[in-house]
Amino acid sequence: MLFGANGCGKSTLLRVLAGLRTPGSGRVTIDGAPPTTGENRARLGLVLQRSAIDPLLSVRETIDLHARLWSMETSTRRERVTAVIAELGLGERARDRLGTLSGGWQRRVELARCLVTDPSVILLDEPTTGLDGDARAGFWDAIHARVASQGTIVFIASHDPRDVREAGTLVTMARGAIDAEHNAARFAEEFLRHESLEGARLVWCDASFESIVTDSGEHAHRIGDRLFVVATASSLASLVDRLSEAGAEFRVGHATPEALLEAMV
Amino acid sequence: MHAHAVIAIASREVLGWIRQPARIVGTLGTPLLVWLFFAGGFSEMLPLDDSTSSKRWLLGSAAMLVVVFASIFASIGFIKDREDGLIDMTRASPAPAWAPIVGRLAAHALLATTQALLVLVLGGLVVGGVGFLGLVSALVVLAVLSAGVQAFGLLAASRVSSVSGFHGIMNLVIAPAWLLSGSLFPAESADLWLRVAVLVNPLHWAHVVLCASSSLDAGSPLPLPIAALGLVAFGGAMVWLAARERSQR
Repeated sequence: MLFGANGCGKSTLLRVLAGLRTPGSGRVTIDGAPPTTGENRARLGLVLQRSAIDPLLSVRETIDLHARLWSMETSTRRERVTAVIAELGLGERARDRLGTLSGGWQRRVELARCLVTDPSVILLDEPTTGLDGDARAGFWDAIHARVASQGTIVFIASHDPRDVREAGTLVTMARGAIDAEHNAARFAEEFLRHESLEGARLVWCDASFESIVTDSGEHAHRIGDRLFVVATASSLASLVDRLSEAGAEFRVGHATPEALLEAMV
Repeated sequence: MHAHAVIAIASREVLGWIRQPARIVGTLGTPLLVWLFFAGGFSEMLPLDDSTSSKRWLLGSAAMLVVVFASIFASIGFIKDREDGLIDMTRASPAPAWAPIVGRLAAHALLATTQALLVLVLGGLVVGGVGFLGLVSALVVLAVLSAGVQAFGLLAASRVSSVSGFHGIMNLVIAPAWLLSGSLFPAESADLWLRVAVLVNPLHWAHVVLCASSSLDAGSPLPLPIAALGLVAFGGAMVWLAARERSQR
């Protein structure tokens, strides 16, 4: 998972990987060939950050159109479209036009469209934006099921800490480059299971004060120019004192995903 | 080989058009109204043999206006699809870059010529003189013109960032091209500078061939074979440039 604040370059990187944008430097290859070859394009599935849908087409028509762009045989195509509609629980809405569906349903259709061609690599750009709890859970269930059954590789770009719990590998981005690799499980535990950390607070400061934080025994997560720490009730006072003595500008907030999201932006 | 992709895009365009009644009324209604007004009040001013000939002459002008409107709508639809990310979704597919362009052009050329056919048939019922062969040859001319003008519209739309930006091109190039097509006034009777502007206009080449299909004098010094060749060259060149332009992006 590529994680970082808005504007750090996550979407640009995904577009480069999808062959929709030429990199400023370097090159992208998939099995030695650029992503723009027909063979590599056929292996990629893509869900863009903004919904890319035609409101005048029905759910089935939208997925079918995508499969036809992959030049799938008619009988195979029909089977795949029907199967993916069932897989994503879209059966009851299959004949509805996309313009009449909520954002959550539209996002599900976009995932179905992505999955209908059985991609071996999936690129998801902020896939859960605008989804409520149930829709978000359903979305990730479908992704995990696909990874488990077919070994699909999934790249996810997100700025939402709640998505981190779905990640196997977590890297943060800043100013268009990979910034750091994190322990995804620990990140998720600290920032997402705040209910188990009674009295914990989120502290964030400039990344140049990393040694102050680590010397105080806290685990710091660097995201871009900032350092984020979840301090327990017992260690908070000590950390604040050390940062004050070092002349650091810092802020303290609730240790919630929402607060982290706000602090990142 | 990539027929699936071409047909998929073409069918999506046709479905989208059918599901927008306002678009049908706008594309079809305006040229019919223009023709009714022109045929009713303007035809007597044209230096043609009789008013029936003038009305038939203006019928070709109305049919070309259908093609122009269809081209404008198609180009605006392209910009909207690009803003909505739908162009990126087709670019990310294994279909070659030219396939969606060909599909889109084919669909809108079909829609434009179907609508133009309706205008010609309805108008022909009023003024007569548009025979079956004339209709068939008129449709071929309008299909080639439609593909060319739409491909030009797509090329222009690729270079502007918004629909409002395209309005400038529409006002500056496409609408004047129709006004200067020689289908509203005979090129022969115009001033020299205006005559030159008409003669180099692909819509005028279409007008000359359209008039020939209805056995009417186009009022142009341009020979029919030159006009026909110019029209085919224009259509082919524009489609090729539009497909190549998308392939390079």
